[in-house]
Amino acid sequence: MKKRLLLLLFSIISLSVFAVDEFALVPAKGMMKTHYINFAYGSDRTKYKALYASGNENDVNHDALGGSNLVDELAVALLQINRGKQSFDDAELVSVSVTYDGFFVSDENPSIVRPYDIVYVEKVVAGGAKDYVNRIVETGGDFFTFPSDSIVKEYPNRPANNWYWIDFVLQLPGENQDRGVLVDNTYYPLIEGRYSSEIQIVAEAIINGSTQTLNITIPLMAEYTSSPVVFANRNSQVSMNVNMNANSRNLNLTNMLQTGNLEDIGNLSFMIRYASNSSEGTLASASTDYEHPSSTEGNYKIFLSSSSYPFEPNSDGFMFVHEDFVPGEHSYTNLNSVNFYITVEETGDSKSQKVTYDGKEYCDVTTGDMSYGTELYSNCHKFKVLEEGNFTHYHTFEGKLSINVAPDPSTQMMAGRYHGEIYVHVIEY
Amino acid sequence: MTDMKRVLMILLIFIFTSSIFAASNVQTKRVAVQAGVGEVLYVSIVPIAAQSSSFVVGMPFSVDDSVVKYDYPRTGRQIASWSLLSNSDFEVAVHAPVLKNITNASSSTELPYYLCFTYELSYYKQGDLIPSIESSAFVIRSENNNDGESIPSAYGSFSDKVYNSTVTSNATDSEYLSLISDVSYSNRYVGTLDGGIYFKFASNADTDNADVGEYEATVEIMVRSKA
Repeated sequence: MKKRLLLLLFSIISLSVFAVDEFALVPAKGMMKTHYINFAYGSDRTKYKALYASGNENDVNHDALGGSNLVDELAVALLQINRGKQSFDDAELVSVSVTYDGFFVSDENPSIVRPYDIVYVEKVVAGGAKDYVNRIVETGGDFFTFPSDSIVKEYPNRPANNWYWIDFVLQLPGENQDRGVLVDNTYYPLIEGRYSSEIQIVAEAIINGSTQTLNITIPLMAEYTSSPVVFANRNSQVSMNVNMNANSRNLNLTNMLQTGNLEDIGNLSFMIRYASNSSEGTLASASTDYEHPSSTEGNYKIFLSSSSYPFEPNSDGFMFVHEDFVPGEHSYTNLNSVNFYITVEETGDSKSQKVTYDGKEYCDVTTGDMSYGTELYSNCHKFKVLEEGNFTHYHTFEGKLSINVAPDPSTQMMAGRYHGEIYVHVIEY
Repeated sequence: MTDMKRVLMILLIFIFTSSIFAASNVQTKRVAVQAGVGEVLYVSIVPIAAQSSSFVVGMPFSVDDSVVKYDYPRTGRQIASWSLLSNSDFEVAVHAPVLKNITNASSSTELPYYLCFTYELSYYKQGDLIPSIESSAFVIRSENNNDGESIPSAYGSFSDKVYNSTVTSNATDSEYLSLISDVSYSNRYVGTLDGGIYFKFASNADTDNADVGEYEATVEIMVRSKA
C-alpha cells in the first residue's frame, strides 16, 4: 500500500496588527485564513484562489497569471490599502517587499528542510474591476548561505485612487517521494513533525498625504505526517514556539544576585487549533472572544518545568550550574549553583496572566491535574476562520519570559560559566 | 587569562543502510540560558549521536547521505552544537584535517569537507545597557595536506559589532580566527549558546569515487585569550 503523505500548513499573524487605524495600510482580514495543502500521492492539488475582504474565495483566471494552473500554491497573505473607505481616497502605493528564506525547517532537526517559493500577485481594483497585473516568482536557497531572498516591488508612478490587493502565494515545488521530495534534482528527506518558516512583508504607501509603513512578520507552521488525515475532522492541534533573545546567552549572574531583578530573556507563543464544521455562519461574524477551549476542542495544559518529562518533578528546580560541576561527583552548594525563576507574562492581551515557575512543576499522569504549579493559560484569545469550507477555531497565547534569582548580594559564587535548562511542556489530558 | 581550553570533536563516518524513522515529540521544548560570574573564557562542543540513518542529524552518517552532498542547497547535516562565553578579548581557532579511510589501509581516499558554525551572538554595543544579537555563521574548509597540521581558511565571522571595537575576523592566513579585539576584562559578557555545527562535503566528485569503509577525522576548536 502506498504511503500517503500530508502536509498541513497554517499561518497566523500577530493579532496586534489589527489594531491599526482603519484608513491605514493594513493586512486584509482574509490574512487570517488558515491554509492547507495536501501532499498525498494522486490527490487533487490545491489551487491558488484569490481572497477578498469577505473571506470568500474566488477562482482565479490562471491563464492571466502565466498560462497554466498554479497548483500546490496557496495565498499566505493579503495586503490591501485604503481599506475601510467607501470612497477611494488618495492612496499611493510606494513599495512592497517580501523577504523569506525559502525553506520550511523541521522544528526537531534543522538539517531537514522543505523548499518553497513565493509568488507575488498584485491586483488593482478600480471601479470594481479586478486586474491581475503582475506575477513575480523568486526561489530561495543558496549554497552555504543563510538566504534571505526577497521580492521588492517599487511603484515609481505611484498610481493613486485605486484599491490595491496583493497576494503572496506560497508554492511548494517538486515531486513527492516516499519520505521526501525531489526538487530540482535534489532529494530532500523529510521526517514527521512540525516545520516552520517566516515571511516578512514591508509595504509603504502615501495615504492622504502621509507616509505609512506596514511591517508584518508571518510565522508559517507546517506539519508533515506519514499517515492519512482527513483534514476537516482533525481536531486540536497545538503549535508552540519559544524564542530566546540576546539576554539569555550572556546573563551576568553577579548582577542578578545583587538586584534580584527580572531580566527579559525571550517569548513564548502557542496556538490551539480546532476544526469544526461549515454551519457556523459567516466569517464576518467571526468571534474574537477570550475563553478557555471547550472540552470538545481538546484539553491541553501548557507549563514550564526543569524536568524533561512533564509527569515527574525535578525537585532541584531551575538551577544555574557551574561549568565544572560533575553530577554524581559534586554536590550543589551556593558556590557552584543557584536556583532561578521564570516568569511568563501574557502580552498583547488585556486579560493578561502572570505566572512564575520555580522549575519543580509537574502534572499527574492519570488525571492531568497539576500536581505542583500552575498551568499557563485559562483564557485564550479565540477566533475562527474559514478553511476548506469549514470553520476552524484558534486559541492563541503570547507571553514574554523573564528570569531572576533570589537576591543575595553577599553570595560569592565561583567564577566561570553557568548553564541552566528550561522545558516547556504541552500535555493533553 | 592565558589558559587555553581544548575541546575535541571526533567525526566517525560509516557506510550503513538501515532505514528507521525516529519518533518525534513536538510537545516538549527545551531552551537553555547561560550566565557568567567573574572572569570567563569558555567554549564547548557537544557532538550529537545519530539516532537513525533517516533522521539526518548527528554522527555517524553515510557518505551518500543527500544532506551532506556538496550540492545540497543548505548548510548540511548538523553533527554537533557549540557554545561560547567570554568577558575578555579572545580568539578562536578551528583545525579540521581531511577525513581519511581507517578501515582500508590501502585506500588513499581523502575527503575534504566544510564545517559551518552557526551562532546567535549576544553582545553589547558601546553605551548600550541591553545586549544586541547577531545571527550568522562562519564556515571553514578542511585542508588536504597529510600532516594533520592544517590551518583551515575561515570566512564569515563575528562582525565588528562586538564591544563596538574593530575586529580582525578573517583568518584566511592566520592560525586563529580573531573574534573579539581591543577589550579588557568587562562585567559584560559575549556569548552564543547551542549554535549548530553543520557538515557537508567539499565536492561531489570526492564522495562519488570514495572507497568503501569508515572515515574519521579529529576536529579541534580552541579558544585563547588574545595577547
